Amino acid sequence: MSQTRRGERSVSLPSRRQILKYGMAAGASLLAAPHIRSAAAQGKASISYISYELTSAAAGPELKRQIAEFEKANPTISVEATPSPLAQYTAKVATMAKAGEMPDVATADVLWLRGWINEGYLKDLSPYVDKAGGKQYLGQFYDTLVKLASDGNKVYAIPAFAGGYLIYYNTEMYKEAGLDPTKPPTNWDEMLAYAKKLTKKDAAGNTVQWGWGIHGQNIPADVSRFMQWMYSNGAEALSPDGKTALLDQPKAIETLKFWSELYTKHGVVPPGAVQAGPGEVRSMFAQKKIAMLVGIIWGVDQVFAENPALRPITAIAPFPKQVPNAPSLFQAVYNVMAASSKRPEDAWKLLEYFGRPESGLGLYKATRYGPVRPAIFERPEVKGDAFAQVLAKVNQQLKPPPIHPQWERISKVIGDAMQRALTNAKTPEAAFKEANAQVNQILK
Amino acid sequence: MRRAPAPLVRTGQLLGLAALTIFCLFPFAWIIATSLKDLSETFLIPPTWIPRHVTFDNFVKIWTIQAFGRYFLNSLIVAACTTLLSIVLASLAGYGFSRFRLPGGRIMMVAVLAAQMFPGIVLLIPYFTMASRLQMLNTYSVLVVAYTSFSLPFCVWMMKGFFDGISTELDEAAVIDGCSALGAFARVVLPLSLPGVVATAIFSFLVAWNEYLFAVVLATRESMYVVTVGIASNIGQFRIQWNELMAGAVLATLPTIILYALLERHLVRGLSAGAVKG
Amino acid sequence: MPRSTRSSSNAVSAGVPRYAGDPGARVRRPWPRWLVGMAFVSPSFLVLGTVVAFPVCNTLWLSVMESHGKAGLTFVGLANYARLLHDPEFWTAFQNSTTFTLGSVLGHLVLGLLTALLLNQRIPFRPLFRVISLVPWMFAAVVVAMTWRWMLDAQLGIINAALVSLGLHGPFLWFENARLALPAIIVTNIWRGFPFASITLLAALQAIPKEQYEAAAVDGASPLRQFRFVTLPNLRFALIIVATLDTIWNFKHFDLIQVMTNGGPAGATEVLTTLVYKASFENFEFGYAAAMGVVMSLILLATTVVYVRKIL
Repeated sequence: MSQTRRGERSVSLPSRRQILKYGMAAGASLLAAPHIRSAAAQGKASISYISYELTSAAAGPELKRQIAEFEKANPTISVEATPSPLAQYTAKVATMAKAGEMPDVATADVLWLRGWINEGYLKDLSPYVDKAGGKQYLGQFYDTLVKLASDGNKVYAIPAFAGGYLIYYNTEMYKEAGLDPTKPPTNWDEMLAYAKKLTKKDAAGNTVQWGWGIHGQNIPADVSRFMQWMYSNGAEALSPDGKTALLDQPKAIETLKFWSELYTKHGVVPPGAVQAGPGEVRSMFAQKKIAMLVGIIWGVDQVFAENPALRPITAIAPFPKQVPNAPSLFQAVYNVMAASSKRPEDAWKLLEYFGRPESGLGLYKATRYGPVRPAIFERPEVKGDAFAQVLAKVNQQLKPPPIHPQWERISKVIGDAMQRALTNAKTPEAAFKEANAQVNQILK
Repeated sequence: MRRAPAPLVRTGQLLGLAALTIFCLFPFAWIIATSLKDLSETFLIPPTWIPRHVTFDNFVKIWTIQAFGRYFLNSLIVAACTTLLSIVLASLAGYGFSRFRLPGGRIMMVAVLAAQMFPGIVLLIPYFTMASRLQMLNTYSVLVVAYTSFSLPFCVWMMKGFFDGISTELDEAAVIDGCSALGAFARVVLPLSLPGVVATAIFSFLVAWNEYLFAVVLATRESMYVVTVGIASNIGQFRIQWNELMAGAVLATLPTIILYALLERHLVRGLSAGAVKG
Repeated sequence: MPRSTRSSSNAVSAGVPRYAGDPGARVRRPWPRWLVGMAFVSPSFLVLGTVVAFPVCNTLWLSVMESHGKAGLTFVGLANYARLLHDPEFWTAFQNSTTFTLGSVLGHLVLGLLTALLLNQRIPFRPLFRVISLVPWMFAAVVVAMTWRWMLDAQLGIINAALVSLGLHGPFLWFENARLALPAIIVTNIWRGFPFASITLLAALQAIPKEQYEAAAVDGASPLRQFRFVTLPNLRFALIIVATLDTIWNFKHFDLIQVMTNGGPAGATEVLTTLVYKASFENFEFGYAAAMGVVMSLILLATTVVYVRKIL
């Protein structure tokens, strides 16, 4: 032991009491470390707005612009816009709501609405809606969108943007395969026939191009795309009263069979369908690996960003209807008010502002997020947009996913069945029969 | 006595190092490559390792369009405080467990870990509610305290383990020579266990630096977001901004590398390790 | 001044007074050893206790409640636990969690030990390689998950591209094949977490006195025998501690699996933590989720107690 390390220094060593004192002081100072709170606007009523769209490169700037406009038009209100990542967004909002700290206004995907309404996170907007014109006010939006946001006579959300599912297709590949690029498939037989023609092998026998992209992940976006197939066939997941599952019905099984066999039997889908989400399938389309896919209108811009060469050769069309007048499923996003909001009047003003036609139009022009009212499609800026006109047609027949508080859970069961059929773990019939039993169990 | 290692051993070492380097770095190389590309090159099939058009736009974007600078500062402050607090508390506690026979010592060791046996998700809402009632939301303290509660249990165990590896004869000798217990701890044992302190410090820093769930929930204002939240913001519902994501990830590794570079020399054998007698 | 000659088993005070009013001396009653030890340990317990007391109690309380949304909570006793025992999803998730944890911990220990041994030797540019070995640990779980999921993608991933260029017949559907999905996640997790083991074991290796190796060499032990009889026994504590902590850390890990597969395909990678997340924030069954959390902690408690007996 080195002699210099210690010596007769016991007197100069701090006593235990001193250590304790200094230690606690240090600890306290650490804990009282700068309480840096962002400067709350002085003297102005401040409402908070949270949205995962604020982090988007496309939508974020447009939303911020709208907020700035709103603040100019309402000088007494300042809006604190908080962007939030999408990952764990629902956990974040639910946690804040349970502690009574939910931001005044928030963005919510249609799939979360039911749960949030049931848990009491959202404020009933009917008094404000009534003052704004009641039924006439709500009448400007698509009926389905309003219905999804309502619980009886109460309204809990104002639509922000929405769009029915449609298909993208590559017109150049159509021409090469001898198909008419102005005539996309109108029913399932044509769908299969076209997909087969659009699947090509190279000289060595490897497939280099496939006809169709399947979304096989067990996430809501992919299950929704599958539900589009169901609706196209006139099949249902739940009975209208929401008490029975209808997955064991012939039309439902037929859908799962046809859909999964595109992958397992006909080989018109690239390998890896189970792990393909919207992003992956769009990327494959952008990389010219697939000729067609089902998607929402605002996904095309990501495709063009990935591969600008696709801009002139991409077209969109309504989803093929296997039964006449088959409706479209859609994605929709709403703005909601927190039940615990301390400034509901001001929050309503912001909701109303986001709900104006001009806001919807601005959002469409910036991001192609679909308008939530038919009237927008008549506007001159939109009338000339070929893509918008297809969307207008699609939106005429919208049908929501089943309005059931447990829908998220049920869609997970459907997603499992989808994956089982795709991986041949079970036949489509067996997969859906099992799913049917599970869903009935949930519905009890 | 320095002898050059036998050729066989040397070859083995080099092979091992090569394997280690490839294994550790190939995803990192992919991340760097992606951060230097723009979107049109990102998903090319077959993929390219070296971008055809190198661009630093992504780094610029996250710094200017997203508030990455602020996120970085917040992360640094929180992680540094957490590490300091964890090291101080854990060294003391580890020493106590290692050198003294405490009544119910075994139970206490397990109890220290008890809270960390719950998955973070179930603790999320009560943490938030507590922070909200105490008016501590959106402060550095709440994050520091929360992260310390995550890393401290593990740090205590680690420090105890490192202290156990140092012979008790050393501190006993110090005490005989007039040191108090605290003195023996601070002047004799702690310097010998610096490698352990370094390892624990890095662990604690990374726990704080890379935490996502509690970071995103306990901060309700953007001014208190940390780097992990900023990086995750690039994952949207309808598009993923891969290049910015990777650029953020690359920048996020820098503080850890710098910290490690500063502490690395302490990760070597202590000077008087083993000098028990005389 | 005479040195204190009291035995070292007491916390000793020096400075015995030479005369009654000696200002240079301090008289201290020696504290009993266990109390001194408690003094070392109490700050940590104070901090931890104040922070986690409420959350843990809240979780225990919630686990005997059922959540009815707006309508509030109702007391249901042990019904949530009973439901857990009969829930096939729970048992599958439990199995997956165990596989994931065991695979990860074993991988971490083996890889960590090999790396630590390698980096403990005299190699050129040693600090550089030590930094390199730390790289996987530097990334947030979200980044690791996104990157590896992309690298393993059937169409867009570089790993498949590399395997195909090596002549293997693809495509390798890592996340489609239920048998490959969990191993793929485990490999990712091993990559991400092994630096924890390697840096801890490296620090532990540093503490092994050189004399022990020299003594063994004098006895004629080959490097392999030295490893077996000198290194490993000295590392025993460190290995067990790393194993324990790593087990806890990986058993309750969440971010990586949720981002990589979210439990798919068809539940093949559903682990307890993703199940708890779904129960909480998708199904709003907070009581059930709390019960699951309590069961998880009990499992980890049992595991830890087993380890603790070995080293305490």
